Amino acid sequence: MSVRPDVGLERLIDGFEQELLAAPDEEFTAGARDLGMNPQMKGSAAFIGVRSLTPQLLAALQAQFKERSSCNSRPIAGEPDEGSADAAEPGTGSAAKGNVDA
Amino acid sequence: MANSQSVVEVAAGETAPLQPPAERALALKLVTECDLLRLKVIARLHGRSLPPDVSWADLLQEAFARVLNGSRAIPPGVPGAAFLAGVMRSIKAEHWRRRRRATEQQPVLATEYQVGGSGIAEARDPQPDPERWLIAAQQIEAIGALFAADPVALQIIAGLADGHTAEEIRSTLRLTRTDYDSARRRMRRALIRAGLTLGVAQ
Repeated sequence: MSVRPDVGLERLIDGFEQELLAAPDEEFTAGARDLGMNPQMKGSAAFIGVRSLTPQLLAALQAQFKERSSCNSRPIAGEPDEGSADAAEPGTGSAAKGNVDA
Repeated sequence: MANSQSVVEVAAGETAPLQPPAERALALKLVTECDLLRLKVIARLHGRSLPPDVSWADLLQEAFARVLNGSRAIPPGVPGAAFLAGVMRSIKAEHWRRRRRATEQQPVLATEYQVGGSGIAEARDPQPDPERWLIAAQQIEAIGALFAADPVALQIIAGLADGHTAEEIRSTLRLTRTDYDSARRRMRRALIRAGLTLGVAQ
């Protein structure tokens, strides 16, 4: 290789990325099956890290969520727990949006 | 087993399920289940050029989150997986830019570790930070190890790293189209295996 390692690695990754984007779906399911995984199964190990939250992301989302919850509850302090109604939808866009800037 | 039922504490002692961004993208049909596998393999590849404190999974989830919150919108006609791969690339570039800026704010430390060249030379031809250089060298070696038993694949890798096109590589190596396609298929298989395997990818 006649280029700097960082430049070479990025070119390599980009080349591989194009290959993988163009690869048929069957190659991925076959690859998972070769490893003893069944992607059709709910909770398959093939999706670890993808369909689950990493501890770092979970912590960031929880921090964001707590921050938002406390902001929401401040103006209606003293009232019964109505502010937590919004907060009870953690899977909605607002939680994910918070993560982006986290 | 993948745990998609992470929870967030909504009140003292009360929790609610938290849906990962990839699950939401799947529910919105932005990607297919197979795209998730494809993106996992691609994210693990991109993760190779990130410092150890940033994981491929964070990179992937962040890409999903940016698309879901609208900060990166998928243009019509562009496949979701291809777009998300591009977002990962851009997050990665952003990360290194941030790191570089942080290093530049520490001139003494930066000079101590600089590979060479004055400040003016650096402005013309920026050197990568030593950490990035080292990670890249190690990862090129690791990728080479994936194909150690496949000399044709190793030559293709060298050609890709040098910036040659597929056609240039094929003609330099004097491979027939069939041989070249078959080498690419072997390479994809090895990459998919490394990308889906449990634990640390080789």
